[in-house]
Amino acid sequence: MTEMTSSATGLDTLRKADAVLRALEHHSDLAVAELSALVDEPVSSLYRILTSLTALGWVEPGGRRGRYRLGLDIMRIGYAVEDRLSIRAHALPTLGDLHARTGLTVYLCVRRFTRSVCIERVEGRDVRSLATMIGSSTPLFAGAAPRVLLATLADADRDQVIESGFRLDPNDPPVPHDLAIRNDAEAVRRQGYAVSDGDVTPGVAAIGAPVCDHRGDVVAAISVSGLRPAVLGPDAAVDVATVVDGAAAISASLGFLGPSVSGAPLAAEEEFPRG
Amino acid sequence: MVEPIKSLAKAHAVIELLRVHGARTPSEIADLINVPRSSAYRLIEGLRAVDLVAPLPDGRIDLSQRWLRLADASRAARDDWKAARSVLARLAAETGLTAYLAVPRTGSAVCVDWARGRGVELLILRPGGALALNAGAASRALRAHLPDEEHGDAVAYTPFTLTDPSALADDGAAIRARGYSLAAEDVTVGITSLGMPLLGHRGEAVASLSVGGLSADMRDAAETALPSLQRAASALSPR
Repeated sequence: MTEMTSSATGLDTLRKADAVLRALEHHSDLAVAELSALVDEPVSSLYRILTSLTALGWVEPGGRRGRYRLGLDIMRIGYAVEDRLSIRAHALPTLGDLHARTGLTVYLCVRRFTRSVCIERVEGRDVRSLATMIGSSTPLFAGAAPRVLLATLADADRDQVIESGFRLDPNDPPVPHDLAIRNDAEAVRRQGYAVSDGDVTPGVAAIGAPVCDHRGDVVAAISVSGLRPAVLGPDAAVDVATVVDGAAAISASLGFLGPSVSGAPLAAEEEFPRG
Repeated sequence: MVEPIKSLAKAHAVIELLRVHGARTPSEIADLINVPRSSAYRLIEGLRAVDLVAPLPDGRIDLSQRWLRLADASRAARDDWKAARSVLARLAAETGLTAYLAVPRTGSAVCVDWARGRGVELLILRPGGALALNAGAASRALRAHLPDEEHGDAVAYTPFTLTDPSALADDGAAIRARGYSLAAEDVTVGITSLGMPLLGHRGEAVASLSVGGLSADMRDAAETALPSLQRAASALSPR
């Protein structure tokens, strides 16, 4: 066998192995005959690939006899990918772009218990908000990004946060009534973004939207913030769609395939690719 | 084990290398898996074509995000533990602690499912995460019921991790005698866990159930969480 044909065979084998992984990704477990039909490969050569993939840990015998499923080692690889996924690194290009287009300050925030922590900000020209520096935290009821993080929590977690009283710092704004917080969270969840109008710093407004991971779970929120006229009103430098689209772009870079998300994780069922 | 097809074994070597070391340049990959550069480039191109690796802007090669979805599918396919989802949820609700299901795999315990407790978000172990069999209640419960040759190498995660072979043998005997494992601060300082093995027909550990939380909350766990853990284990036990 020449070098040429052996490497061509190698790539061909890889493609067949990939077809097996794709079929198992969408069917939880399959018998060899079913796999053979799905990947269009005779049972004899498919068996050779399955045996190899099993030896390598990417495929394993299923719970039921004679069936195959994705192997445990696949979970370990996914874990490593998820572990290294830096929300901040994936968000930075979009944050920079939003800042360049609006001239406003752009924030990236994640939830820590009852508070929202700013993990990145790209500075605007008008005001330097002292309320939200990198590393500073805000209770989840105040500000556009924090309210997005609260609104998109699972119901039980949201109840727990609200019942905890938010663990306030001396400089925090007063906690609104429970019902007001819940109504706001419902509204934010429904519309998929939050508008803040002076609830953290008087005269400063912001628009926030959720960022989600590959499962559709909200893992962060971005917000675009500035003096009220620059954010809200007829001559605003930014609009809701820009912020929501920016958040969606970051979600896509984190592996999210679905449409925009709020609240409960979406079950994104893909069609199995034919042929 | 049969010898896997060469091209797949090489593809696997690249993926394992990226899993363990993170993104690498094509020439680093060639050196690390010990193939000529030209073959490494062809292999990387092949893996790229099927979206198992992806290039970074700086030219290094990394695992693709497709692995995230493959991993979720692999987790969902574990239907031999179909009942585990609801059992874990009940265990977490009853104890307020995070509950884990782990299975043994080549000298380690791999978490295959979990249910989060109330309290803090502890990221000791997530699905797909693995610990050496000498650390953590989930691991130690498995280790106590596995033959020596499957114990793997001991890893010291904290100053409190048991690594001495005779101490581990004693721990195994104690776990077999009382039926559960208790692991204090041996994976993460400040965290304690309580575990129980699920035994197969030949008495070997096929999985373990465990709960973990802040050590302060776990002080009385052997009394308070144990009954819930026992109920959960007997609900899932294959025997």
